[in-house]
Amino acid sequence: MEGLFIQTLVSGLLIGFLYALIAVGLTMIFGMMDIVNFAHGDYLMVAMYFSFWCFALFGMDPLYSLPAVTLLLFGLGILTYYLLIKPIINAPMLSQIFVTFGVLIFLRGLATFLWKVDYRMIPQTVLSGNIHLGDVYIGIPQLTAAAGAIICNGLVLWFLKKTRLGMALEAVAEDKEAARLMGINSDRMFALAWGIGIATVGVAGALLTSFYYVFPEVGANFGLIAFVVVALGGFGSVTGAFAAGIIVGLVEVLSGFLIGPQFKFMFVLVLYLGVVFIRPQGLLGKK
Amino acid sequence: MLNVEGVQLRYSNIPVIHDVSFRVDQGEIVSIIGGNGNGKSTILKGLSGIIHPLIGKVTFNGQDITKASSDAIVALGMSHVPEGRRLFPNLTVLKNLRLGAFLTRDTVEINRRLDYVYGIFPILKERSEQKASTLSGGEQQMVAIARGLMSKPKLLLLDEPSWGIAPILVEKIFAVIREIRKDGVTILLVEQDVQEALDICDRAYVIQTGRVAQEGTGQELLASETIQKSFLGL
Ligand SMILES: Nc1ncnc2c1ncn2[C@@H]1O[C@H](COP(=O)(O)OP(=O)(O)OP(=O)(O)O)[C@@H](O)[C@H]1O
Ligand SMILES: [Mg+2]
Repeated sequence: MEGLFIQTLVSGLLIGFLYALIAVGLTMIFGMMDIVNFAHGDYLMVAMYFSFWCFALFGMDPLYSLPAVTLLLFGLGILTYYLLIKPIINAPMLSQIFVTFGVLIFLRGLATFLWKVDYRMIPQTVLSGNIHLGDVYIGIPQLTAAAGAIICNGLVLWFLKKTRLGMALEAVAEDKEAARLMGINSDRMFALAWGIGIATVGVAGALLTSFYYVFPEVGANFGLIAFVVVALGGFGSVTGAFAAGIIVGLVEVLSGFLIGPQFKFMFVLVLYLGVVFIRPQGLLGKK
Repeated sequence: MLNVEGVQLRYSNIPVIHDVSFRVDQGEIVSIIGGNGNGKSTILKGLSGIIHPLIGKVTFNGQDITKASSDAIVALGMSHVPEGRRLFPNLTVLKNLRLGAFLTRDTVEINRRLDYVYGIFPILKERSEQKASTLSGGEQQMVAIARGLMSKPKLLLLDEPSWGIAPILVEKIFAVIREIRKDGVTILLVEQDVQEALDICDRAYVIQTGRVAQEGTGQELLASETIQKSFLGL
């Protein structure tokens, strides 16, 4: 019983890091330009299919195709910005919601059309296997995903805090007009935020493919969780998303363990509602 | 250095500046004065590329910048210290200053400029790792001016540098403006404190409902009856 409990904690922690990674792009894009990307989880789905097909067609392990998938998603993020977001950047919120929601429907529809609703999984990857510490089994793919998420999140944070471009991104998030007065081209910074925001989802998707099914709706749950994480961490707060990802991961597995697996998402949503009512700005949010 | 000819500026479709012409010569301090809501800040925004004139022409060192983007204008050597400071509140003082030099990648040059602004405002060096929002109003104004200097401008636009700071600091800020000019930076100053603005400047323009109502040297305007009545309460 005790071993099982620790086992649960560990898996919650591991998945929590991944949630944080998925949420980071969402919160970053929101923080920069006040746009909620409803299709965020569906970019994850796209990344997972890329990763899956790299395996199915070329026999490339998801771990090895990760850089390519990341790059592709980076490009997709930039493309999304220039094609779809830029034209509506000053539009009313409702138009913005329609556009990103439209992307969600489009991507899911496209995936269903191209690849059917089948659940696909890579049976054996270079990471397959477990390690055990005492009574606790840890899947190597899950462990790798968590480590990858920590590294990737660390890189994002380092980029934002320590580099010239990262600083410019933060400046645009803080005050667009003042940033322009510094000679910062906010348009390019928005594009960069979309590139990075979607690329991080690419990393998450690539890591996930080693142990999770790929299907057209796979982004729905992860997208939803990303929203909870972003709300909990504070809209626009990258560090908040790190902490919140872990909390959501733990809440999910613990409620699944203590009450029943069928309730685990319910408790995540209860957590979400709790945040909205008690601390709408989130853990580390401003305002 | 700066030449503004028949410029009209509008927000959405409402003209705020109807027809304004003026010039700033190399090495001058030129003041723009006028009551609240007469469009002084709007003029500065029109120069730094935050908004663009639909009618009229702006040239800077011989280049037409009427339609230029703000990054191009900063690159040409104009820097705008906006009304209300507009610091990046959650970033440190040092980051705010570094962002002022965004267009420069040369770290040696950036450090040289940091030394220069720390020389002008020694207190900022002590505050460099503090969040900008935790500074006093006067210190924040110093950061705003220092940040504006970090792009090494030839022309510095200052919008109400005395806004919301203690009188003793106002003196200090104006002393700094004189010092900056001595270092070769030309200055276009928008200021509520008309006495100070006219004292410090070589020439000044009075803006009223979006037009130039009066112009002259600082001394001429200080002696002018209309100015004394409308601004100096004499
Ligand atoms: N972003 C904006 N959108 C619409 N109207 C604006 C905007 N900014 C300023 N205005 C209007 O333009 C007019 C001129 O404003 P501006 O800020 O240029 O005046 P000002 O002379 O700088 O005033 P103050 O001395 O109060 O700073 C005002 O009527 C103001 O309401
Ligand atoms: Mg003003």
